[in-house]
Amino acid sequence: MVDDPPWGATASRGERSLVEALRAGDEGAFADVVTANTPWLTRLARQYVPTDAIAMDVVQDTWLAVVRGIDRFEGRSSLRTWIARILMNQARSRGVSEARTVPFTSAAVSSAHDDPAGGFDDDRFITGRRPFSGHWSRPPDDWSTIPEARLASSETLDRVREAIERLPEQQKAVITLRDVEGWTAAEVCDALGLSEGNQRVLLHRARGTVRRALEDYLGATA
Amino acid sequence: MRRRLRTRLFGVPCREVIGLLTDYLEGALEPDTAAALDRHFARCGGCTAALEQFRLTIELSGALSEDDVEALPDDVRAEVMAAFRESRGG
Repeated sequence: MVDDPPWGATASRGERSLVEALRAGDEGAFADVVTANTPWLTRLARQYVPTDAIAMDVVQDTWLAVVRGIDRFEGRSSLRTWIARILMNQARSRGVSEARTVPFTSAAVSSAHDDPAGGFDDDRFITGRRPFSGHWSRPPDDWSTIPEARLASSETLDRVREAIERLPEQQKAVITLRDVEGWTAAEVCDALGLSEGNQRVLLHRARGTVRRALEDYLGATA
Repeated sequence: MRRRLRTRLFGVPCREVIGLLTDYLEGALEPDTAAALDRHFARCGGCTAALEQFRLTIELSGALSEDDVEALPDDVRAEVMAAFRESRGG
């Protein structure tokens, strides 16, 4: 019997038999695992290292580490959260030596908006001891009036991608796995070693910053 | 003015609602708090717009998963498969 970690999403029965097949040397099964998981691994790796070529190196090193470690996988987490942890370790050691150069202004913007109020500046809210303190002084725009073609354009998506890339590491990892890749909260907590509460705080800050980047972009080109 | 009285008279401040948006979307709020937010959204266009902005932000992030990424180059795949074969004693 495997003890379940308090927050984790454990390997399903289907996954356990997949892992059995891998341990038994089933090349077809392993090839399928590689094909299925390389896309999100590559997207995640790209967030942490400066070039696509290095991201590919990280992905390759990750698969080699998976091969070396498959006998140690215990099914306490899902297979992909285990693979994600391996990738994060690889990316982290590469990232230290080959960090993306983040322009100073971007870093400043990123931390200025790193607050719980959804990326909205303080002056958007009424301040002081007045009765409506904390309510909107200047409410957000209604984005439902923006044509979908503009909202979903490649330019807009570029802004989203850039905003995510500029996030502090943990926020970046959480929003990438949750919102980009669609993982569950449990899997992300497991992959990143976070409590549910911490994961939500990181996710909220990340979403607020990305929302703000979108607001600035959509407002500027209105 | 005491906070609870202020809240009763003037509602949950919007700044607080914004802080709870992710908890709300995750279903992580106590039922009473979630209900208070629902009532707030019903009469606050600003916070409703903010919630919609959050939802659209999440949706656009999701669209990034459709980013084309190149498949593993053939030589990389071959090396990974060879390592697998060797490790299984093949």
